[in-house]
Amino acid sequence: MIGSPLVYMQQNQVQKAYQNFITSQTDLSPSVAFGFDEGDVFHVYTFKPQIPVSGYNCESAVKFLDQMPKGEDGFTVANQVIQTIGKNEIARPGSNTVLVLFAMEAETNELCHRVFIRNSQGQLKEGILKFIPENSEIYSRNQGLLETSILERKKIGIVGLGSGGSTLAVELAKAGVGNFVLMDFDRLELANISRHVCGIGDLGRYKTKAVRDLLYGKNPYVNVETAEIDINENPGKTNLLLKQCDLIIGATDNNRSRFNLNKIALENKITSIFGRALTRACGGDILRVRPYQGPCLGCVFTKEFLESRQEEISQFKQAREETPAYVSDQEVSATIQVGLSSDILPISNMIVKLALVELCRDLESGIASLEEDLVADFYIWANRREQTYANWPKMLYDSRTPSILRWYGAKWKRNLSCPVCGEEHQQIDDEENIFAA
Amino acid sequence: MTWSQVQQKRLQTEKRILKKYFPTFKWLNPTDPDNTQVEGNIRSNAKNIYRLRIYIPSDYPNSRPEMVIISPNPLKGYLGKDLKEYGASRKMHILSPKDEYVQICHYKDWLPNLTVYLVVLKGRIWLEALEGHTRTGKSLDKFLSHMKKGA
Ligand SMILES: [Zn+2]
Repeated sequence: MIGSPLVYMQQNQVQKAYQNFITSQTDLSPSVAFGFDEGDVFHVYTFKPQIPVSGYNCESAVKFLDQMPKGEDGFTVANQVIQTIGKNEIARPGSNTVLVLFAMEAETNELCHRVFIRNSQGQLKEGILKFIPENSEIYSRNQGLLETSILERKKIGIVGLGSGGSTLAVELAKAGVGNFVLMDFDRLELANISRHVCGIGDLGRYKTKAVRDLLYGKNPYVNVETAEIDINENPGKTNLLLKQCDLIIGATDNNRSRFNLNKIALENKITSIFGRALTRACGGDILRVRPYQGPCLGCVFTKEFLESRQEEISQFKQAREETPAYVSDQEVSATIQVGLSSDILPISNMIVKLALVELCRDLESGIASLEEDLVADFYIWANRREQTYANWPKMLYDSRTPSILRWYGAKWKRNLSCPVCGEEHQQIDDEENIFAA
Repeated sequence: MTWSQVQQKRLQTEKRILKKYFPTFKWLNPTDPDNTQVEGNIRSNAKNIYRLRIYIPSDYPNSRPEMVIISPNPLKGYLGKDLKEYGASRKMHILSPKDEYVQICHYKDWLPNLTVYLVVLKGRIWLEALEGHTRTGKSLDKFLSHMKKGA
């Protein structure tokens, strides 16, 4: 036997509804309720919520009274109100009606509340009303380990919302990061779903907007800007959106976009993190770029490097763009070799840790010791002993030899003659500069 | 749109290098990133003159500059066949025509450490291969075998 039904409302919506009642004196406020499972949980909204809602639609109202009826009187009042609101509605079989009663208690000056649910058989039950609090309270349990007040003010730009970018976005919202810029011009397709954090219910939507809704679901008070643009074709707008960020994460699947992000990050002196999966997600690597303090993408992503660590080709569009036009679509399709979602997750999880270290750098936080461990700018990961890892020893019991499923930080120096961040570019000679407008 | 400061520095360096090895090449519309081109003549070992055009993309050097042969046009190969008739061809090392000129396939895996000078050099090598093809009828890849796959 289930106990009393649970009914949830957002605290700020209750406050807004009460203000409306005070100013308009309309005591009955229409609302929408969504029921779950066997009618033991309901979520009530008086305004269109920012978060995506699920559950089945129920009739609902919020009523403000002068005085809260005590005990059994509550049922009498509730029945009367439900009859008035139900009059104009066609009763739907199997549907519930959720009524929330509020009254301002004169003595205590507190808004007290009761909630009643009438089921499809007409039986009235009292439920327990719970409030979803403001931001700071949702994330208060993180306090101590991570300075939530710091993270709340930070802004992260995430470019590329495939399986890697989408999972790390959600993790960063869960950690308490307060502001996001999400950029991707792809829509969710059936082929993406098995590796993506979004599901069938989001098919056809822009990945940016579907992921934004997931972030709202974790924290309704997070600020999310989305841009459905190809950063390679829109450098100006991309720069404008990203230059306000404290950190940029490049989770795209091609080098052109990575180099364009690298350029923006260097020009604005913003730390950036690039993550990739290798062929069939046999492993991956992560590069952290601290502008002019360590290597940039151009220092590391050389021809030799890219040939020794070949990237995963997971989408037809990606493969088509990287292949000359004389290669047939059929041949292109054959190059698509997709790894498992669980092979991508360790890489995005590591990016999250590196990102949190960057955002909390030099501040007192519970992860300060991690700063001392993660001093490398380049990290590699192996999921399986194949491709570039084919000759690695088996994991077995030895922790002293390189093995799969462990992170390795590599020392990588900045190349002072790097064509992108190097210092050897000669000064602009104004007289000879034909490139200035 | 204009070239950023960093791009201007880079392009100046490129201009200097190109001038050293291919002094007759000229920069066209250099202040307009959507329309900057490099053009110049190449004289082959057989003393034929070809004119190349390189399109500098607005996100240069982060993406690959395209290269076409603008003269002679039409560009003819073995038995006078117009090279455009091959469309995009792996054997001939050409991509789909651009602006109705034959487009040379070069540096498939473009990286910012490559330069316009190196692109022109690829063009010069391709033109020598073209002459080999025109003499013998063998496809261009037979003459470009020393160029790595994908290059
Ligand atoms: Zn560099």
